[in-house]
Amino acid sequence: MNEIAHCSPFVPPEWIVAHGLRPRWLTPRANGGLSAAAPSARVDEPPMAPADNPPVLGGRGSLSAPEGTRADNPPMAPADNSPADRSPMLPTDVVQGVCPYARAFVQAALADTQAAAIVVTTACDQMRHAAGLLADISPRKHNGRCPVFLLNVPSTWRTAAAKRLYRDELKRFGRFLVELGGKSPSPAQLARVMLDHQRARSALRETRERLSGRQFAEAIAALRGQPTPPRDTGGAPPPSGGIPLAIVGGPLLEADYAILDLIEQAGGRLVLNATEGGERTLPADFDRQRIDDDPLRELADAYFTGIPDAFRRPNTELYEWLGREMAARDVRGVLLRRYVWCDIWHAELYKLKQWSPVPVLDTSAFYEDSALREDNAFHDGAGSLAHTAGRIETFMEILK
Amino acid sequence: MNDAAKRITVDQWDRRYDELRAAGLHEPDYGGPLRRHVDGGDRRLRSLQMDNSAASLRLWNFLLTEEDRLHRAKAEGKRIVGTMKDLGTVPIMAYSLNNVVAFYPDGAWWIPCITEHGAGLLEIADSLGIDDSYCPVRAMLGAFVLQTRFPIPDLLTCSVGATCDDVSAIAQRLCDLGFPILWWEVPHRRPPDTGETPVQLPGGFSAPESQVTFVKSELERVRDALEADAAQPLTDELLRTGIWRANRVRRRLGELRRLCFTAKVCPLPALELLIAEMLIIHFCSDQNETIEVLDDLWAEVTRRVQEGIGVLSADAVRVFWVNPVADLRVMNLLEDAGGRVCGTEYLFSHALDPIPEDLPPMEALARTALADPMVGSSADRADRICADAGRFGAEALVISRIPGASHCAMEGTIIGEMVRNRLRIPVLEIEVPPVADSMEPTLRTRLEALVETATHRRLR
Repeated sequence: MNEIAHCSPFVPPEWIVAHGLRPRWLTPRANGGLSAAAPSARVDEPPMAPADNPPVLGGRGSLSAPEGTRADNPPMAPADNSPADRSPMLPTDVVQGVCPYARAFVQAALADTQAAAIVVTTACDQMRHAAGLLADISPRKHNGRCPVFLLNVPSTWRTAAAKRLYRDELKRFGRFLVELGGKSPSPAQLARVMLDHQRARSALRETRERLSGRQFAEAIAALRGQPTPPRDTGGAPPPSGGIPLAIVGGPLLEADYAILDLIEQAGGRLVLNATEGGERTLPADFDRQRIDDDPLRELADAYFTGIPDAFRRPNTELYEWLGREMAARDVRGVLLRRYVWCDIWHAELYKLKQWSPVPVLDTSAFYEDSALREDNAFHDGAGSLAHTAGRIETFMEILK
Repeated sequence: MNDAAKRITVDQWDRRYDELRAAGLHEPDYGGPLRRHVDGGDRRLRSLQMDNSAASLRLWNFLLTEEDRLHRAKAEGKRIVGTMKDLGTVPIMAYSLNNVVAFYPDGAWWIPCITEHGAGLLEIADSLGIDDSYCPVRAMLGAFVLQTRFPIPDLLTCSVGATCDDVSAIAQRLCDLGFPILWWEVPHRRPPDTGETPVQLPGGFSAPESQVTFVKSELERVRDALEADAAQPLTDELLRTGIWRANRVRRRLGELRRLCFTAKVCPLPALELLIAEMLIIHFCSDQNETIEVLDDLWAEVTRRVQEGIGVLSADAVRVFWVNPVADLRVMNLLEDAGGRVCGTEYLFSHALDPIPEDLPPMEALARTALADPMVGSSADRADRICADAGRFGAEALVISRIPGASHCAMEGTIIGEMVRNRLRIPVLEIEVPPVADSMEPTLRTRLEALVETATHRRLR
């Protein structure tokens, strides 16, 4: 129980590792389960079979475990995160207006029996409230275990005070990790971990052109846990040629990784993953001298000022970064992946279309309740993978 | 003239206005019959039941002439400051300066209701990619684009951080459209950890001293911007006076709320009390007049309480109301169903609590900003709701969801459960769009069911 589950790029895994604990990137399934580090489902796989005891929606307004999942069928077992390991569903009145990602995250967090703690950030208002919901129900579900840590990530970024606030939050997070059994690292220990992670990130970046979009995304997700050398994660090899495309947006659910395959199957080549789990949110490179001077300050600066995001106010850096990277990679089309009820990324669709020098395709997703309850299949705005596939194929046809 | 307190339609107000005039009604310069607002496009008034007092007439006229007041202030050379999202803190700073008028552009969220979509603001928001998956505050975007509702502010501020994503996203769009914004950060309020110095906030919450210090530094940036825009120093002395004036308004409103919530017979309809509460956010662009308007209402309510008269039946079910409604008519529906409001939490309880006057003013304002119920957890908010609902003897609670609002997605569940567990009263969650006519039968039925349930519990 020394795993710290997180799903925000503003949580530096180096800081967790330096405390002697294990970070784990949490990729929720649409059905509320979770993936250990990176998703593995494929587009052509059939939907997973419904669980033997499908969860029952809780009573209106009730946060209690669903009937039938208490004494005779403990909601948290088994611990292997298998498809049958379904977490209790959120009550029906939580469904309305809730971003599918935030909802899946709550369910995944409740189903997570491995994590010693779950870290959420304030970068998204629904996730901020999700942390509150988890803090309320998680102790009951976990017999008092699995605390939730809410890391304050300022929306403003231009002031010294905002940077200091983030740095202070990392210190507070460090104290939290110590309470969980971690050990406060010396500057030298932290510096060593930071350099290890930096090397792993550099090595990963070098492999980008040799990996498919999914493979690269999975490798980045793995990197947000323990740093490991890039490995062949299986799956389709990268396409040779193809129309260079970028995907932009918020976090991806496990099933959303299918889009990365779809792009390549339709004749595209994903050269820029600017989703929340992608390249866009890797921190800036560390400066060796500044690491020697004050590693925590350098860590905080690299993450806080090095990650452009839509929630930032103003969010000008996101577009500067996109402009730079899209030009460098000769991107010819952009897909925006967003969820219904995600105000932050939804608002960027219009601007992205106005701003982008190349065509932009909106691929919104809402994940119908039936999809959440019955399978882990991919359901988007029209309720089917085929719809999104058709949109992407048409997009490719236009770009040819 | 019949002085019986009652709710009347705008048609009935035509006659009532004549009666009041004949009886010697004295009105401020913005006074006049309510009918003129209907003729000017505020069509929702035709569907409302309004209080029949002269004090309420003044309240309505004050509310519905705000845009004129802002345009006049602009024409007089005053500096106009738009204070988005903070719901009550920056306006106090702005009104401490003598040549500044502050208003709350987010208040445009009621324009689609008041005009019954006649202003076309939501259509403009739609055309800019801000569709109905956003809170009705998106009307603000249309108002900025049209530039006919309120004058474009000389200075725009917006608090971000632990705020709803709707306003944050819409404000960013405004920025993209060429309206510069001073962003200031308010962090998620959290309880102090072991070893941190706790600071007591107005309203009873606490936060670590470091958060108060941070917010104070952010408000200092706002102060700098206000000084630069107004070309005059905003001294601590001016701020102290400004806080004193704001507290005067808050105290008066506090007395009014207490009278309304505790009177045996409901002395003022929920609709007028909602509007009175809303004045507190930015004083409807005239702080001095706000005091006068509230004084009038307080006097009328006091008279009614002393005489034991009111606008509803004495056995009306006491309902605590959470969140403001996008459609004002729904407050009428509650009363039609047999309920009365006996407590409210309209997302700005920090604007109701007196600001500490024994502290350095910026420290006091920082504490006030951090006491914002939206800045903390839903559980914090639920705590306060439970305390207030218990204090005012609520028999039921309504959580009115704001369509599309990011905070509404989950908080209702947390608040609802805590209220059920602690107070053992029925809870109803409804969603209210800007014009709820199509949903009225459903809303009415649900509110009636709530009232009937609460009534039945009295018998047990």
